[in-house]
Amino acid sequence: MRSILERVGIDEKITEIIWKEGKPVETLNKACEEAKVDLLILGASKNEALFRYYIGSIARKISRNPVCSLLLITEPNKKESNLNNIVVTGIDHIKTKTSIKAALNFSNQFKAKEVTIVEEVKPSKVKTRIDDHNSLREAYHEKEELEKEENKRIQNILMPLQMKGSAKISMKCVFGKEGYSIGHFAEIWGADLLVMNSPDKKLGFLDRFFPHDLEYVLSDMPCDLMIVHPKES
Amino acid sequence: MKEVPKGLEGFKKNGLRNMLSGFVVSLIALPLALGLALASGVPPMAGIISTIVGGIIVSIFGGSYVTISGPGNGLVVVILTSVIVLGGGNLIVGYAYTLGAIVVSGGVITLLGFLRLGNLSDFFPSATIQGMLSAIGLIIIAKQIHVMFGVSGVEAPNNFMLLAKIPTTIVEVIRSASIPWVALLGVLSLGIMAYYAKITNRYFQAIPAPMWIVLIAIGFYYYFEWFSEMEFPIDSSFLIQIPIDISESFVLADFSQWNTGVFFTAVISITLIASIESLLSINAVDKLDVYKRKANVNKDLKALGVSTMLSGLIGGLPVVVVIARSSVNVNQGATSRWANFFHALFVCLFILLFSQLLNLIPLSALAGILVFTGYKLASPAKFIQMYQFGKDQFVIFLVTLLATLLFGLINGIVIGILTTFVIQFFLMEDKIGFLRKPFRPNTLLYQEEDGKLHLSVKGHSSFLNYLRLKEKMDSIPPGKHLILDFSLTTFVDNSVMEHIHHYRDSFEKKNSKLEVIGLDIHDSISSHPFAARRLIRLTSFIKKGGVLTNRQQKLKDFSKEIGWKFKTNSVFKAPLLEAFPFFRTKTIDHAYNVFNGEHKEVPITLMDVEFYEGEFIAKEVHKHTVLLFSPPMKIPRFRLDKERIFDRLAGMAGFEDHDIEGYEDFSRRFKLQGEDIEGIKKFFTHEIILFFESHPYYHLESDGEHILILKSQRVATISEVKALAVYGEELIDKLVTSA
Repeated sequence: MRSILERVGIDEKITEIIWKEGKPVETLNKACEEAKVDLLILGASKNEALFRYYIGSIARKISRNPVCSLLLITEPNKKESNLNNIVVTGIDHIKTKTSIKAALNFSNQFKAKEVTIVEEVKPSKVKTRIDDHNSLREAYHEKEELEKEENKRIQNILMPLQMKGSAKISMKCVFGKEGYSIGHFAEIWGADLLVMNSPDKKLGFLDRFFPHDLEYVLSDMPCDLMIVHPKES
Repeated sequence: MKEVPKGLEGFKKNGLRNMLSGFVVSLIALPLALGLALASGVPPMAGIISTIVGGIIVSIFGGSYVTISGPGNGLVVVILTSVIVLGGGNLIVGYAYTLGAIVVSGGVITLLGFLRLGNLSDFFPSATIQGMLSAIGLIIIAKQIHVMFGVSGVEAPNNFMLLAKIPTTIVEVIRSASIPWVALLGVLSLGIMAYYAKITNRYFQAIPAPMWIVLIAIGFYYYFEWFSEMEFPIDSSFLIQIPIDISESFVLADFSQWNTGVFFTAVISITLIASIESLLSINAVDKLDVYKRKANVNKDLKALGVSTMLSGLIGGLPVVVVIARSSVNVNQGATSRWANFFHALFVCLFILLFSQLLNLIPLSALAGILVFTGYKLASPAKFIQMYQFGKDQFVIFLVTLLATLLFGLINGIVIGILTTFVIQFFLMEDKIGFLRKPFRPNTLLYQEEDGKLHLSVKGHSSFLNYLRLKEKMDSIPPGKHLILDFSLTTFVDNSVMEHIHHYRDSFEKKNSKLEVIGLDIHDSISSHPFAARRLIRLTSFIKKGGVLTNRQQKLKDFSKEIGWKFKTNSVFKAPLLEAFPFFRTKTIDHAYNVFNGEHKEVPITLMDVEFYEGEFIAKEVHKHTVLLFSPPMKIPRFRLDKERIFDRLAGMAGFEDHDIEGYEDFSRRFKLQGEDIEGIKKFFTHEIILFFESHPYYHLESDGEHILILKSQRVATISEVKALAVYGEELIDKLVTSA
């Protein structure tokens, strides 16, 4: 262990190594709680085999009910300088503010070039049902209005945060299934890191059969994933 | 989009035109209604009731514009089966019970409308629908051809045997002692239907083919009545029988069988076929509308359901939207639902005024019309077309067809869907991925910075999840530019390809644009443009002149336009590209769709490049379109990119962004990097800077000998390729003149 640390060049003075035995998930969670950990870094494979997926790996198990913020690394070979393109959730939720803050901090640390805030909007929010050519135009207009509102909401979050650093911050409003859309977007966008809110309640076995929100991303990880768990809650 | 005058004002303006087209349609609708009813094993008036009720109710409450509603040919087989089965052989009892089933299924169709299930028909794979329709066509032929030859009472255990008995029937007709007038009229009727379109005489074309048949049949009677000494040679049992007192033709529905399984099956079959036929027709007619209106499908379903209920209650067939009559309607210049209304009104008038004349029409003449409609559904051309779609499609088509002939419609379509599923599963590369998420969301729609809409599809895209794609496609308003990106898919099936093809058509008609990208590295199952596509593993990726995708075809056309050579073959080594800083951290896998051209004696290469970042599990595949040329002079190594706000701040802090003195605007907008400061300053002359200022942003790189130009994070669309090529040529112009 020590030799690995030396090779990577980690200073032992500021690093504490804790050895514990027990069931991995519980032990890790316990250790995190005891040490008041801010960020837990785990390795995780992009796609899990069918059986493994439904049983759940350590990384997935922890992310389904996190006690602190998590960083799941899928691409250990990647150099840190490659962390150029960060995608962060901009969903209408209390936790979003913390996630955006975390993403911006990260982008400064790693000199990311682009941070994209993705506002996922439920399609049902568009009240007009598309029936014919008139309602089609109306619905599109309504979408544009919603998009403006969403961007305003995000801007209100961004305002008080002092934007320093070199990243280009942009917003994208996406109408689609929450959780799924952002994962798909991150894949197209070629994101290096996806920042998501932690789940509101523990995700159970059934959620894997009827996936929603975070579960979509966990089942098919487009890139490294950070799950931000606000400390207050 | 032109505004269409509505209500009474609209009637004043376009009323006459719609009345006329309604009249022409009624000339077709009348004989068809009689024929379809007879073929369904019910009294001829059932078809007339359906036409009149449907025409009036749907024209008032419907949501489509230029469609015509009435009895449909798809339902003939369903109704006939349920009349025979429910009545236990007694056609009159079976008719009343079937009416009960029609009323109930009308209720179900109305419910479908309220549940907004107007996209139901899009769920069925297109090959199974084709197979089902062809089976219906064959069944209609099997039943009606005997009637056409005037031989009644031909029976067989199944439809195959019925078809097999055709030669016997013909022999019987030829051997008969007297002149077979009935058969002659039947064959003449089929001949008129088949050759009507080939005769271009203006007066002949003024009357639609079915009406000619009616007129000839009636004329035939009067010939014997007035000119011939012979008796009218056709027995009244071979003629249509419409009651002289119209009120006799109303039969009330009988619901006493409601709790039997057969009744239930009949309701499901009627609902399924009626809604599929209507929905397919509405979508097809939508594309014909001169005003480019989009029909409210769910509203139409409600109106169709209500009119089916009413029609069934008083003895009529189910009401569906019919494609053939609707397209005649559009061709006659119809602009509103008034045409449908008038067509019903005219049919009503004909029945009230001429019912006695209509009783002179031989059944064989109507059977001739039906045999032709059956032939159109099951013509050899359809078989050939299905074969061209690919062997997979042909198998699904044949299986559905045979299953429908042997086991009935519902079983047939279920077997067809299962077959499609199994075949697709075997064709797929990523089987486990498919099993894991067959119904998961797979689409993402967002707006790109330049206002274009980007719709990306992921994983497998087939009939199972097509409705998700359709929902997104339908939310795009006219006048937009949509890029449909299949690059993340592993499998795209025939149904989706076919739907996309139809969308391209309707997009173009609505001033929108649809560009499909990301299918270039997929292998197609057959050479037809609708063929299913699957992603080939990169190791086996050697494409030798295979089938061109739509994009490749357009690229090829473009290459001819500008006189460049175009090759789709992959080039596995691209050492030139690897020298550029952009590709330094990336591994180039291969380049494909390569253009080789020349401008002002400077050779240019334009190509799609696929490359990775990372290896093994960390591998990320990217595709870019790039342009490469080598200018005729010495150039410095440099990198030129769009400057972002934060780049400027970084630049102030002393990072390597070179500003060219005297060109504030250029320095503000572009980020210029390079080590050879002197060389760069020399290279960026006044003309060159002006060029960059006045053109859209591209990412430019030089390795000292070549210049590389690229733009977006994905493969360029056709228009972007053209823009890139022109940009390259103009840059060469500038460089040559400044050298």
